[in-house]
Amino acid sequence: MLSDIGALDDALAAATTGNEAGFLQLWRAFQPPLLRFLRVLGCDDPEDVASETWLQVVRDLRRFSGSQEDFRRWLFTIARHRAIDAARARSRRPASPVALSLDFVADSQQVEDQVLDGLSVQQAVALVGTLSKDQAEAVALRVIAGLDTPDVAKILGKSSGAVRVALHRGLKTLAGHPAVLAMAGSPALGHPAAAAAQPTVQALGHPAAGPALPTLEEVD
Amino acid sequence: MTSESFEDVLGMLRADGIGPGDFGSAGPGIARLLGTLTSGPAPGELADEQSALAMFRSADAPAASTPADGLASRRRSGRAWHLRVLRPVHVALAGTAVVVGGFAAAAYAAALPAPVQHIAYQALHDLGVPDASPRPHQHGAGSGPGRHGSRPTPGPSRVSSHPKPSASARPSPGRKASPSPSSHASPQPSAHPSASPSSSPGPLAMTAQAAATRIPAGSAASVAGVLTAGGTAVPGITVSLMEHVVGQPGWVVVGTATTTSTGSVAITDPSLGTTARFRLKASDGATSPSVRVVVVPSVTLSIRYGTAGIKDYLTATTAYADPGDIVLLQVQNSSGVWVTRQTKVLNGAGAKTFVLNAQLMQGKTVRVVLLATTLHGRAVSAPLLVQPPA
Repeated sequence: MLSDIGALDDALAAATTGNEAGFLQLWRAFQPPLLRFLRVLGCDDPEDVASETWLQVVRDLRRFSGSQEDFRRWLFTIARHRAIDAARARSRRPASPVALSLDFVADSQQVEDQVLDGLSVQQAVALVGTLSKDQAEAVALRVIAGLDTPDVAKILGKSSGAVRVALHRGLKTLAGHPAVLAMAGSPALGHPAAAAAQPTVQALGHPAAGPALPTLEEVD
Repeated sequence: MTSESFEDVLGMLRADGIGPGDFGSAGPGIARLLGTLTSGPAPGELADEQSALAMFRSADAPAASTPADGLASRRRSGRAWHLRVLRPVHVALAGTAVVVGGFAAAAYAAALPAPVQHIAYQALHDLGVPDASPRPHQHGAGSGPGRHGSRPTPGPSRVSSHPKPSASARPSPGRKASPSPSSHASPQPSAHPSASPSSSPGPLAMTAQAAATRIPAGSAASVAGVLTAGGTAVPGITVSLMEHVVGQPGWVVVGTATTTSTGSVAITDPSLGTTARFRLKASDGATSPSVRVVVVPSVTLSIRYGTAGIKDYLTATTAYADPGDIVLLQVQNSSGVWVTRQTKVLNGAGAKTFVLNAQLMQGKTVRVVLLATTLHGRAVSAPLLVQPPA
């Protein structure tokens, strides 16, 4: 997803000069992993936090200098800080808006359609979210964000060794998860028949899944 | 996921001493998991693209170099993409003559009422216009020759200094909130009453009245008033329109004009983005009561159909609202009553997307309501009839 490094470097250089196409290319490349990272962190409304993150990015983008790797590190550092801010704000204001989990609710209700709609990504993200905080952050930053271990260590304020340990343990834990074991013996993920046999997000116990809420139509 | 992408991921992890052998029989499952985590955009993940682009465009706009630039920051400190380039304040003043001939002649002859004579002295003393004659003050204290002597009451509550627009959104610790408006200013029903020549000299009074107390956010706010002294119109006096933006300390001058021969003045702030209070302050110190102008943000609602016919997206886009503001998605029932179905908060781009199934919702009318805050009034989008996906 973030593999076209040269193109991203060009896009970054263009974006720093105010080029919209360059910025859009950056945004399209980084927004999906950004949202997934924020979901792993358990953000109530990852789109909001992502917007806050991009807001800070666009404010300072003209002063940014560096490669796309530097940008990636910068972006996810900001995102983590904004997620922490959001969590603090949430704790100060316990009443959270309703319907933030509707996407997940829809997931649990129509698994075949989820896969048709590409929502298996949310299942995968939800699986990572079941890990301990240290392991989840290490996996998310290393795998989803695509940062190298020293950068992850810098963001988390840990040693590279500690990050490697957390990453290794996290992946081992995931490997032992029934959903992953089921996928190991099933047809390729993304096929409706395969996905139908997989646990849903709620069944996986993702904290963001929450209790079942009626869909918009059902409450009418 | 392709084996190639799994190899890419594993290749990346190899630097951490992680390889396929670490996962035993779960290797293929881990491979699929990692491949999915690093796969391309899923539907909905790029839904905010237009909002992001709008954010980029606004943040990239060159900053205004006008003094009002700082005021814009004060108004929308949390929304860089809404910083507006404020044009110089438009002064909607019918006549801008500073002093009419008759007035000048009368001032020269010291034939004007004392308060007016003093004002004339302040403006024209270099030309030989005398000050008002000292005389006992009808209300006692506070008057005397040479110090606003003819004003019957102590000066109106003053802003301690004319605060300059500041580029900083942070409140200045040393600046106090604005004092209350002048206690001797008496509101009048009309913004443009005619002067009464027979009125006896009396206290200076400045009135203020907003042309509209609810305006679309970003549009002009006009405030008109009349300066009188003992009921007599006072022409040729510079009057400032002062603005106090909600959530910001102090009052800021956003425009000036000169009173006409009828003592009237009208000043316009061409672009108001946040609810604010205004008052008019004459150069002599007479200050009007404040008037409040509430801005109403715009809310637009659009629908985007998903590819699978399962999930469709209603996006509410706002201008001049703020991240964290609450929006309600309402559906009109068969009785015509709007019923709230979902409640969400605006994201950092001032937008929010609701998920629905257009197939099931077809034929229903929906709208979005932006709840009022201290910074803006309540706003409602135009109703949208949900059509089935094509």
